Amino acid sequence: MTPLLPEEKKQAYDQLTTAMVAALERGEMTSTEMSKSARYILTSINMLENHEELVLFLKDLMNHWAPYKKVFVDFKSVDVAKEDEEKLLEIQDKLKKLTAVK
Amino acid sequence: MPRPHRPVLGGRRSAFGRAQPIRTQVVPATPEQEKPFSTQEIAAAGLRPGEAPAGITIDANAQRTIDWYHQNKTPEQVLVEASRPRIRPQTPEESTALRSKFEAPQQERLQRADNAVVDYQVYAEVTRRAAEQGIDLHTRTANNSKQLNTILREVDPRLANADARTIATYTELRQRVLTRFTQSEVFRNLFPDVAQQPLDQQLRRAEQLFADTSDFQAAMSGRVEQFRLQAQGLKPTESSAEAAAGDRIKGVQDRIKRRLSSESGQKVNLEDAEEQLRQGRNVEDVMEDMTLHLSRERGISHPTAVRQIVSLTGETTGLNAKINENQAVVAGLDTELKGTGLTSARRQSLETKRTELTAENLRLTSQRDNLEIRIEKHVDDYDGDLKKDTRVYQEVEDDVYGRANAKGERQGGIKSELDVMKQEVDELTRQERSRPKSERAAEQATEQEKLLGDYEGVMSDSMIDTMRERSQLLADTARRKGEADAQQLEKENRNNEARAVRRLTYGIEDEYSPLDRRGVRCTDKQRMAEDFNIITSGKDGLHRVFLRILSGGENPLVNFDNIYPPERRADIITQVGDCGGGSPDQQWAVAKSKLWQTLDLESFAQTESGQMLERMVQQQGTNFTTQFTAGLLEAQSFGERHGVGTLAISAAEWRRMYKYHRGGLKAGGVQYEELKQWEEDMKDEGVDISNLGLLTALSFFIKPREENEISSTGSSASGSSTSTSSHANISRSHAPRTPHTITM
Repeated sequence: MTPLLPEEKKQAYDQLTTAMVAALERGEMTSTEMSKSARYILTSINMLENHEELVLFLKDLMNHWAPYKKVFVDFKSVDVAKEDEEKLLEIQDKLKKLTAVK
Repeated sequence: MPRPHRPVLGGRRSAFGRAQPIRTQVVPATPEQEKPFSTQEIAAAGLRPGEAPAGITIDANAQRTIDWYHQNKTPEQVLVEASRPRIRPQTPEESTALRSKFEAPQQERLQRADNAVVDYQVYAEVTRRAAEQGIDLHTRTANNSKQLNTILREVDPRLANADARTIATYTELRQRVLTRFTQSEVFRNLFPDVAQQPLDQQLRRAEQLFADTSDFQAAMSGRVEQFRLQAQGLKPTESSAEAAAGDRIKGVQDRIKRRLSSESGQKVNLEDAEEQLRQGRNVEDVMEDMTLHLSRERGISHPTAVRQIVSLTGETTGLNAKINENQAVVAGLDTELKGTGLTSARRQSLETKRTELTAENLRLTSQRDNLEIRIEKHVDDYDGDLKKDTRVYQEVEDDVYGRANAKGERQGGIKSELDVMKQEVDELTRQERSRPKSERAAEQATEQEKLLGDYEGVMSDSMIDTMRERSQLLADTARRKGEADAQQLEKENRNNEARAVRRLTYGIEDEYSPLDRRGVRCTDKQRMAEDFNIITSGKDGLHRVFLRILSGGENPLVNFDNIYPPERRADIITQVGDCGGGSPDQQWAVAKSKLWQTLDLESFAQTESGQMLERMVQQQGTNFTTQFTAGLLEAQSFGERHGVGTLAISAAEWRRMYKYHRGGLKAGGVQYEELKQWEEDMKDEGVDISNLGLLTALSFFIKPREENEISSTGSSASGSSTSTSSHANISRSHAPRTPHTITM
């Protein structure tokens, strides 16, 4: 479990708000949905303790209100990119060992 | 997106729109900072802010949230704003909709109240005028009808231009006014018995009351006490009027309390309100002032202010409509008055009506102005609160963004340093690459040598450390071992000393110290006695009897001659059977021998004699243990004196006894091995010694050899008493193969 950093939480707030406003401007979200989702975000996000919970929360949010999908995709893609990067580094290390590069 | 102007409530400009908080600009995330996505994902996720397509209608609440976002409020603030329940109208349309929501029922209520008042006023005026003109309203004559028509048309503005059926109208009017009155609480409280009667009778009673009571309106407006007194022909006293006023004030207080407690739960000091009510102020005004005052004290006045603004705006609208309506009527009257052909009565009626309407309009205008003043006050409160909110928000924002800036600066500084370092590293790398390969190789070799030297140095140091550590460990181990040895030696010394003391004191060798059933070593006589007590308890209870014999005392009960008196011996001989054909004494001797041989301790315990023995042992109690111990020692000395073992019991019991008194037996010259061998010999010869009674065995061991000569009498006594065993005393003295004749 990766502890949830304040910066990460702030980033979630930023992106969720941006997504909400974009949806409002585009008419994809009513003011009632806006109120409900905003309350849900405010009450839920403070209870999150780690990164995995945040991603799950975003997924749940996306299932309730589709305009928040982009935020979930963002966070998920960062995870995937990080995993890819780690794998790449691991492969590079192995290659270095195999070739014994000085 | 440009921010729309805030809607103005109550027809006045809100100060909120002028509040422009100054805050640090936050740059929204730029598209290139984001991870790339597929077109499908982007389409599903929606557009970014500012990319709103045309033709989309956004309601005021959503627009407000969008405005907050574009004003660079923090995301938390935007979300809080978005999550807030919508109680404030944001646009003129919302205000209108909200007002109409309250206005429609209010107008309906007002209309009903107006109609009721007009009904009452018309009815009162018609009745009064009819009484003045001597018209009997209950007598329907043509003259009466004509006069009533005239009166009605003059009094009721609703009938002025209508060709109404006035008699029917009057009947309906009377019905409405009196029915309303009879259904009022005032009437039902005053005349509960009449209220139970049919409607006609109720109406008649109400009409009578109406005719008799000069201040009927007082009754209708709730001055019950005064009306009751008047109805009873009494004048209202000062005290009763005060009491009525007190009731009224209390009612108002309760209402204020209810209203305020529902908001805050705070107690309210109502002295001021009471004073104002006594001075004749309007109840609603007092309530509003109190509510506002307390709300302001709590610092949460703006929800209340908003509600008041909405409510008062609705009232203002209603008043304006009424004023406009009155003005239209007055204009109509003016037009009619300017015309010709009016009768004087008609003209007078129209002028009266016009005067009334003008007066009413003046009153309504005054009310509306008061309302607008109150609205202004509420708006000021509202704006003040919003200003306060804005100030708080601004402070929080400044704080948050200030920290964010400071953090950003720090991060920027670190990043700059990192950039510089990276540049240096890149430069070094570039220089390194540009050097000739041979130079680099030579440098690398030097570096390796240096590393090797360092390595050896490190290894040497490490080895020295290891040796030092090992030496220290060995020293510690030796020290600990020495300590353990010393402790062990000291412990052995203590044990030896204790053993010597015990040997000197009790003559007990530790190596033979008895172990009780729990494996605990017994070290003194008292403990031995306790252990023997354990042995003699429980199902082995009878053993106590035989152990009692070991005490050396005379016990007549174990003598069969004493147990069975001469008169019973014939029965015993018969029961035992096969006692030979000798004299009765001989047969009795055989029977006794068999009895000893076949004595089943458990069965014996059930006999009268056995139980008697048991009781005897129980009565002796703990004294028995002491006696036993003493007897044991005595038996030991007896054995020593006679050169035989101290004890003999059944094989199993013997082993147990031997275990507990091994030292004593050894002292008596009896070795366990010898006894064991004897037991084996007996088995070889077909005698299960474990079945022998204790006394039988005992009789072999405790009697001197010369006294232990056994005369074999039974058919099974095939062998002599001379044993072939080489086991010294025991073998020579005690090798029974047959039932024995015992003399005790």
